[in-house]
Amino acid sequence: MHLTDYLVIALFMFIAVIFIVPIVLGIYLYFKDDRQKQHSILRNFPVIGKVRYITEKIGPELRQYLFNNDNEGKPFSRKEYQDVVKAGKYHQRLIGFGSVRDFEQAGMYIRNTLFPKLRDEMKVDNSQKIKTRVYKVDGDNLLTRKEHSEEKLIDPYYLPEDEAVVLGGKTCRKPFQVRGLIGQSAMSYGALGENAITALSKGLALAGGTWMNTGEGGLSDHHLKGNTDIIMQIGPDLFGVRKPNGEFSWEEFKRKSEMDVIKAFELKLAQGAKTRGGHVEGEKVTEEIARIRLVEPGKTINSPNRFYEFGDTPTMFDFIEQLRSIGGKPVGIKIVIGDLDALENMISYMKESGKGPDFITIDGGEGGTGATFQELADTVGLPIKSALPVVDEMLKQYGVRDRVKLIASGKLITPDKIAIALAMGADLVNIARGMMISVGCIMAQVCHTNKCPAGVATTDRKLQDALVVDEKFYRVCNYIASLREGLYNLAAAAGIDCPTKFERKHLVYKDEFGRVFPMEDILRSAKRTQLQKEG
Amino acid sequence: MKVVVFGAHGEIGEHVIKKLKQKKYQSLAVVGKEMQMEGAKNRGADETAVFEEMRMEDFLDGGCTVIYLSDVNQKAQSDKTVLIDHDGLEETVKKAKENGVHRFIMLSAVKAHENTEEPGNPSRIGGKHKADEYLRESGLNYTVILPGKLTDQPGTGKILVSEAGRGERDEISRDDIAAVLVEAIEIENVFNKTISVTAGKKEIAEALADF
Repeated sequence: MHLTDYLVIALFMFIAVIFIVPIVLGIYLYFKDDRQKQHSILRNFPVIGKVRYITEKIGPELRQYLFNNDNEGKPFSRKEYQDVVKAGKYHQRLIGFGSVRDFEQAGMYIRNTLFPKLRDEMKVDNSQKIKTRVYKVDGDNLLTRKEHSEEKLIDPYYLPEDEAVVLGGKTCRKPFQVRGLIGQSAMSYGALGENAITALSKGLALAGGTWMNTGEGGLSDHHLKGNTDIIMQIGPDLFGVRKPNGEFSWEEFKRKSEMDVIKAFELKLAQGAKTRGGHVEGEKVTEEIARIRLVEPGKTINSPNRFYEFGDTPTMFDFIEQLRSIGGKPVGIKIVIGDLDALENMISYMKESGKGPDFITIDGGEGGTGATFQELADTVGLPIKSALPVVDEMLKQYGVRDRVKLIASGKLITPDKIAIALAMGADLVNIARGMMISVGCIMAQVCHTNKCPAGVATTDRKLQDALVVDEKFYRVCNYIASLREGLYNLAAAAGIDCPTKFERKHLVYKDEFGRVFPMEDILRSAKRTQLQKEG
Repeated sequence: MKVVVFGAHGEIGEHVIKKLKQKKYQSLAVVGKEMQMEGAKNRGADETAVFEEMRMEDFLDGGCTVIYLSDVNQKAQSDKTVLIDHDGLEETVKKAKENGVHRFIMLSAVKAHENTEEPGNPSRIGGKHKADEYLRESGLNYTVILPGKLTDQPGTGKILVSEAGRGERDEISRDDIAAVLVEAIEIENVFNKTISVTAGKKEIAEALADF
């Protein structure tokens, strides 16, 4: 035979393989699907039915990348996501050809003044520049994108000394002073991997004027890597401050409160995502996690949804008093607003007793980094924009607003959203998912599976290879500095010299018909309705 | 020794004040507006003054050095380091001479890579010539520094000094150019010269001394 004959035979075989293999596979799947008893559609339509399952599987990705427009997509739209990524990566927030916000819809707007403040008139401390790294794009083509990272000195936008926010200024031996308005919300080690926590710790430390909340999972070594200020959270499960039998350990608490980096403590009564109490599978309770949380390794943890230590406001306040007198540091509570009567009871007791927390972290119902139950995430607790003004107003009504600082959280990931929260009554703002995005989260929505493809919300060693700490921590720093710069831009536009001075009067609400209401009117009318109901 | 920094509020001025502090010079920061004084103080200026409100005689004296970064004349409305109002400079040079200032260092509006002989934007070239001429004619001990393209990168401490108008189209960080301005105060080799400065490989003091 000639060489050509061999080639012809090879060609025929090749064609046969191309056609026969799929046909055999198709027939196999046809009979398999036809006989199975689980999926009704596949029993009747084995081939066409398969298409349904395939498209359902790849739907979320298709929607996120191809079909959703830039403003669609929850929890964060493509645009919101990119705003965070660009601020972190390039330290810039410029856009071209105008906003893509849907101006027909109802929403909050910041009231700008006729005569904004000049740059020089702003009260800001930029005397210490931050040495960070940013990316510069060299060329952006269809298939290739060339960029390089370079060192850059950026302005930190710290608050000047006299505008700094102080937690526990009058009550504590060691008050916590912050020179920036934005910090990292509670995210536990365990929910996030060590690489993510380390990158956040280092990035926040580099940015300065911010803080890191440990989450209820206790204080790990990874939180301490960057030496940033820390607010340690204590949940009902008392991780990190418990005795082996589950009781509160004052000894451990004292040890933690003596650490310099821990600046304050936060009792978590509830969280937007988890009003039920936590659950950790035994297999996830590794030696390290057990050591940090002070529990037994390998044993499933089912934590309560309320503290055993207290069950009502007076006992809670006594507990807070005790924590403060032993620790000497500010103590706050984290709550989700739902029951307004219970809230009012607590606030009136604050006035009556003269006791109470140094700060209240209000988590909007929309909060939550990942793993929770759908029914709780979707419907329990008020969103931050409804909760915040109510608490602020109630505290003012009882004359105790000056004793407590409000920290708000709930999807506040860009400067405009943060400014609106500040104007609604927040003193400080917590960000969780914005921080996750800055260390590489792609919104795959699989936080609860330990299979995060970006290596952020996973403890899997291999998946965490995706996250290079020394590259990502600069992005955290850039993101924070960029947010603070944005706040100063907005403050200048509103005619105030510092973002700490945002008030309700700086907000207007526009409804879907274009009618404009001052924020104050909305609160007043809510109050009127309340009075009419009572009268 | 006292060093008077004109335009201390600008982007380079910020760095210059810090460097002076590190080198233990007494500094007087001359800024454009009153509200800029606090910032300069925070960065470590020993004294601050607003250009418009003071007579130059009050703070220019024999033995002091001037670092001239930008015009601080309010009416010129320029915080930008590169925009030099010639009349402001002329005035300052005149006053410096009268009051016996012994050293005058200026950051030029002309970039290192711009050939000053080339016809182009007449005002710029005119400005450069004017600045140089004034300084030369005044008899002051001067140095004019032409920077490369300015960046916000952290300083490397390493530069390349070349003849005026002959520098490459290279970059230099604001941090480094500030260090050059401060180092140049005492390095005799650059007295009465116009030099181009871009990022390079030699330590700043060495590069200036060897030029």
